[in-house]
Order: sequence, then C-alpha cells, then structure tokens
Amino acid sequence: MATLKQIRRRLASVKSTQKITRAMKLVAAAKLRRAQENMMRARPYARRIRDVIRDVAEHVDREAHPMLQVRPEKKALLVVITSDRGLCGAFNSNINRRAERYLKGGEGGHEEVGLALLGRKGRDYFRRRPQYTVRKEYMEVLSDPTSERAAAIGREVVAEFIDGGLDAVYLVYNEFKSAISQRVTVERLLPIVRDRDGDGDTDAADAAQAADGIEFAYEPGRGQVLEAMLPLYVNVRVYFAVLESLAAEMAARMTAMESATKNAGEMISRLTLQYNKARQATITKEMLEIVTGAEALKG
Amino acid sequence: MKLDVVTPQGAKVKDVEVREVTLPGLLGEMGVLPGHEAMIAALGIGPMVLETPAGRETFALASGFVEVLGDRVSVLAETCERSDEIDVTRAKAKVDEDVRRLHDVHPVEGEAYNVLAASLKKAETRVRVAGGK
Repeated sequence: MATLKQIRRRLASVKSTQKITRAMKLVAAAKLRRAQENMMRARPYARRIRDVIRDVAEHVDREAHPMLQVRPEKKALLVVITSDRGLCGAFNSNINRRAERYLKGGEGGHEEVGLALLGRKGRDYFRRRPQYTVRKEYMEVLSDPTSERAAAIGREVVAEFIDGGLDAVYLVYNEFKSAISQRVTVERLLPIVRDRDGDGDTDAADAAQAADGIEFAYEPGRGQVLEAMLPLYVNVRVYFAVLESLAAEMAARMTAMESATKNAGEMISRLTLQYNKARQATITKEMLEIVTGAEALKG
Repeated sequence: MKLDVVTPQGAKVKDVEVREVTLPGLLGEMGVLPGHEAMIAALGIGPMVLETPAGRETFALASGFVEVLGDRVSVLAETCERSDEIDVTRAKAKVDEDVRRLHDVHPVEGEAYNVLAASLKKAETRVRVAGGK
C-alpha cells in the first residue's frame, strides 16, 4: 500500500500533466481554426486554376505538353508531409507507415523511388531506415507555410519531371476531413492527369459555368496559357496539401490532448479516492490506538 | 468595370471599381479597358497598374492569369503585393543576391538559370513598384 506522501506526490504530478494537456488542447484548437482559415483562403484560387485548366486542356493536344505526358513510371518521387512536433496521436506514424508500405510493397511498380520529406517527424523516421533514398528535405516549410515556399518545391519537381529525371511524383499526406477525422492519402501530382471526376460541389459549379458557353479569346494562345497555368496548378496543389496537413495535424493533436486530459482526470479521481481511503485508515488506526491506550490506563 | 485579384493567400483586391488595368502579359504589357472582349490571358512577372476613380495604384504581380468577362476583370496570381507593402531594402538586397548568383550559373540556359532569372525579375519588379529605383 502506497504511503500518503507517495500518493500525494503522484496526484500533484498527474494534475500538472493535465494542466499541460489541457493547455495544449486549447492551443491546438486555436491553431486549427487558423489553419482552416488559410485553407479557405487558398481554395478559391486553387479551384479557379483547376477550372480554367480543365477548359483549356479540352481543346489542346495533350501530348504536346510535357507535364501532361504519361510515361512508364520508372523513376518516382514520393513527397511525404509529416509534422515537426509530436503529441498528435497516430498522425505521423500513419503517414510514415503508409509511405514505407508504398516503398516496400513496390506499389507503383517503379524501378526507383526517392523521398522528399516535409516535417521533422518524417525525416527522423527515415533516418533510422537508411535502406530508403531520401532525395530532398524541406524542413522550413511547415513552420512558415507560405505559398512561395510551396511553389519552390513545385518548381523543383516540375523541372525534374520535364528533364526526365522523374517519371511521376506523388504526394503522401494527411487529408483534413473534419476536426475529428484525418485520412492518409496518396495522390498523384505529376504527370497531371484528368482527375477523379465527380468530386461533388466543384463539378456542379463547372457545369454552371460551362453552360454559359462563352467563347474566350486566349492570349497569347491556348497552348501558351495552358503551359503557363500547369506549373501554377502543381504549386498550388503542393501548397494546399501542406495547409491540409497542418490543419489535420492540429485536429489530431486536439483529439489526442482531449483524451489525454480525460485520462488524467480519471486518474486524478482514482488517486483522490485512494488518498482519502488511506487517510481515513490512518485516522481510524490512530483512534484505535488512543482508545486502547486509555482502556489500558483505566484498568 | 470591377476588378478582383485572388491569390493563394486569399482575395487581395475585392470588387474595386477601375477605369483601366495594365497587366504584365506574357508578351508584354497589356491594357484592359471597359468593354474588352471575353479573354483569358496568361500573366508573367511585372507591375499591375490600376486606374481607379481615387487615383493610381500599383502592385507587383508574379505568375498567374487574367479572365475578362463582361465588366468584370478577375486576376489570379501566385503573388501580388501593393506598392506600399513592399520592403524596398529587402527587395534590393534580393536583386543584388540574384545578380551575384546568376553570374555563377553555367550553362546560361537550363532550369537553374531560368529559376534564378525569374527570381531576379520578381525582385526587380518589386523594387520598381515600390518606387525605389
């Protein structure tokens, strides 16, 4: 049986841990809100670019544009987005394990797969697994997620893809479904292929726009407009994936800290009960001693 | 006509009344006046000038496109900064840095060169727009 003093110390420690987890939960909630706002701000831009590309691409020869060319995917790059900090549940291990499964299982049927890592947690994970090739590390992006930084990554992979150094680029990241659920997704970034038709609301918007049937003049020409637009599309996709991952990270941390706070609460009430019982036992024991002592004197 | 500028950071200019817009087209400067035909044009790096009833406003713009439809002009750009938001000393430092780095790049074509040249052009535009020639 633990002594009173031991229990008291334990109780104090759990209480201070709970204070920390509760604070972290609040911080994560605030940051989540900000991350969601960033996503909302980037969305109209991303959508608009996609819509225009879709319109333009319909009237040009796809083969003419290197970024649209589908080649046998021999050399691929996996862009893996994790987080810089831990204490967010299974967020990072889900991503890292997914990426490793992709590499190990030869999922894309590539001859050669390299890694580009965003986030310290991914870097640490793959440092311990030297059998995989880490081609690039972008450690500064998550702490300061500007669209310029994301665009720089986009430009690099586009350049390498056009050079023929890469045949395909995939994004592996946590998609932000809602504040309580994230989903690990593997998405193709390059080559740009006609994407998953039918993702709801945007298609409805497209249809409305197409119905207008306006003939646009393209300056300097359809081909050039498309050529200028495709890299922007890649850039914004990288940017958006980073924003989603950040929002998902905060959501995961919020959930993790919420349950940690709850668990600490349960532990506190159990320890308090134990403490009170122990205290009562001591009092009873002392009373008994006094009573027996008094009885003995009487005799 | 009305002008909107949208960037990945959100709307930069929203529903502003303009008399004329000058934009950095891929083939050179391009002016849009009211009554322009429906058009989609790719934009490069350069200054964007708005003539509003209240006066002239200048922005540094980089990579995007413009859609003109009816009396509405929508610009989408990767970056767009108003002249008074630009840190001139930083932009100037960036110009110097890029010029220095450009000297060390061989061959004089290829991706590395192009990226750097674009970066230089961006920095130069910012200096010019900020009025710190």
